[in-house]
Amino acid sequence: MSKIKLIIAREYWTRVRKPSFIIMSILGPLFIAATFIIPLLIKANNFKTVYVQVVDYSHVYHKYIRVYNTKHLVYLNEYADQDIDKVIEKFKNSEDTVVAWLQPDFMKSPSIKVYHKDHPGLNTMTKLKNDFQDMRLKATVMQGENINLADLDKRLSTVIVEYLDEGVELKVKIFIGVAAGILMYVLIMLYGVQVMRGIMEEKTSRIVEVIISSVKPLQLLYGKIIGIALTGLTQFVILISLLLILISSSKTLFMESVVEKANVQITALQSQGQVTMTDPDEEQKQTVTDKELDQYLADLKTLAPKMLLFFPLFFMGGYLLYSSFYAAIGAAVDSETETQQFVLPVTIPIIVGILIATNIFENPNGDLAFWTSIIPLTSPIVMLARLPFMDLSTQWWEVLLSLLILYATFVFTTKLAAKIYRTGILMYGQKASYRSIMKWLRYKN
Amino acid sequence: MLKVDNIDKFYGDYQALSNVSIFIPEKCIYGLLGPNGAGKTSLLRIINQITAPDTGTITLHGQPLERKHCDIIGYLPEERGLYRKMKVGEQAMYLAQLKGLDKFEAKKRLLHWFDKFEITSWWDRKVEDLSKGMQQKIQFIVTVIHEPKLLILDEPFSGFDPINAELIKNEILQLRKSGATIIFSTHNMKSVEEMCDKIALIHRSKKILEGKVETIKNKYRADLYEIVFEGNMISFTTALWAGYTLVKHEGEKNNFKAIIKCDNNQSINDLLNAILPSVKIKSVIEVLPSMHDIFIQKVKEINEQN
Repeated sequence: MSKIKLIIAREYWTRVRKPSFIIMSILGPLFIAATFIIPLLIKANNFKTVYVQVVDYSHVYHKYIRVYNTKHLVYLNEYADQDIDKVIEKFKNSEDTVVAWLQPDFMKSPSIKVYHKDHPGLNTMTKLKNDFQDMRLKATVMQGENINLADLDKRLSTVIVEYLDEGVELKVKIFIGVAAGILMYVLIMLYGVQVMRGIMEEKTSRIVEVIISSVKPLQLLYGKIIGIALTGLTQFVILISLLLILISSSKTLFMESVVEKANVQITALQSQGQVTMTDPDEEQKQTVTDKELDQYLADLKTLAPKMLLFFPLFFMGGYLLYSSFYAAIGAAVDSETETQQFVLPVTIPIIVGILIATNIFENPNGDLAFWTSIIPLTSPIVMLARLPFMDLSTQWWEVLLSLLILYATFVFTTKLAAKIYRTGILMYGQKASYRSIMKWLRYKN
Repeated sequence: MLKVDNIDKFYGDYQALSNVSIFIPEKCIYGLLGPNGAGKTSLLRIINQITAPDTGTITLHGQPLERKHCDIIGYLPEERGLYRKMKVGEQAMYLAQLKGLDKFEAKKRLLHWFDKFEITSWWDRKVEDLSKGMQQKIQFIVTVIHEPKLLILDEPFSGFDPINAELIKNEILQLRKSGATIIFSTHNMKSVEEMCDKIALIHRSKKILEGKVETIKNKYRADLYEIVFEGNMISFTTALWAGYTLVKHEGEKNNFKAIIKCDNNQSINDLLNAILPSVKIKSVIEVLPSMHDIFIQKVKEINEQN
């Protein structure tokens, strides 16, 4: 029994005393806290007030909607009865964020046309939609209309928001943004780590010295990084091609299956003699899904060009930046277990990036979104998630600036990594530490 | 062929090489000797342009050493290996092409070498499936595949089994015959005595001795002779009563082996004259100092000077 105690004590103390244990114990809770705090931080930027100009062709509702004014969302009614084009022109020169048009028959067909500058985010748009819906119902009551239950039911139905800018559904933007952010995160991690492993393999298998007697160490390093980058791009191309094929074929597949199912049901019912005609509700539903699907596909098409253009550019930048870190780590360490202490600090900004990217729709043009899409450590992931919400005709400089900073940073970090690499790969059997790496940076070539 | 002039190399505050100069003539087997950590590998890495010296110059055939010279140098590092997951043939082709051979030529030469070492059947096998000895053969082939004019071998025999060591040794001698100059470094001084024409001793970043093996040995000869004789030990020692020292002796009854040191410029002839009347001589060999002994003596001298 006393022997097992000894073993337990050793197993316990050797682990608890490790710096990595202490660091992880502190970082763990911080990380969990961050998953809650970051969405809040993004929302916090909503303290900027959003001004919504309501252009009310029905002349009735703008009076009611002002009841819903809050500190963060203010409804105004400054342009009366003007053409949409004229309103947009005026609006562009104003401080306001959103214009919303109410048609004269708003009571019958509950749709609002909306035009905005920077996207105000999911939160604000949801509130706007709810306000109009609520207002519509209350207006009915207040006007004392005598309506039957079926009509009331229709008035309870959802208000449809039509975006006038590029006409893309918010849902689609969120989906594309989050998907692009996650894909970027996965690819950067995957291929960055491959660079690290490749270098470690060359170092631990000791082939590196043979190779760098034939080529310059930096040729080997750059050759490896670029070779792996091309692998990543190839994978991206395959993924996107497959996705496009899938989407274009899914529509026909999906529709066929729905129609088929309906037909089967009808035939079954008919055979039982219960039904002689198609249920009108079913028919309606079917056309709605069809319409929605068409809309989504059209939205995807609208967003595709800028996503497909910028994804490879940001992937290259982000990958090159992170692979320079990973390359330095691979060259510095001697074994897999040693990598942990160095990999952790590199991973943190990527994780922060993905946390922000997956919540960015809350406020895609807020300060946090802006800065994290400019700062190079998070920019490849965050910018991609922001991109669907951005109007490149006015916000092009943000993307350009982000790219420039990203590429400039990688040139700098690659130079540092090359210095560490050149020394590190020839240091066998030495335990790497931050101090020794700093020393290598000062060595002459 | 290769001239290294006043090389200094620092790693931070640590000096790995201090004012080292060596000259390696054409078609010579040049031994770089010294204990671990003396600076041999640092020097070889500089000659291979893996690292650059802080000061000093290197010329090859009278030209300053440049990147293009990589293709006429073959290097077998002390720490050597292969990509484990790659196939043998594919990997050998890759390394041969890195040395400047085109695809066709690389394949032709590799097949020749594989045939010579009887390893053709390994071409499509993965490196990780080979034993260490097998991998060493491949490493040697890719080192010499481009027929280097200068072959640099860092501890070439370390880790080789005796059969492979012999094979490699013969190949090295063969390469010298066909015109290659060979530098090889080792801390195992015995192994190079028989092969090297010229050597340099490196100790604590400094070159402490350089020259032809013969010349050095002669310089450090201690006038020691090993004499095997038949006869009486007492009469043997009496015959050598003046001018000689009996260093060591062994044997019994009438058969003895003795090591004698000649003092005061006595020659072997004098020694033989002195003992001929007393015993029957079976053999006489001059005992030359081993490189190991010379090295230790030299280090002692330097320590005394300081």
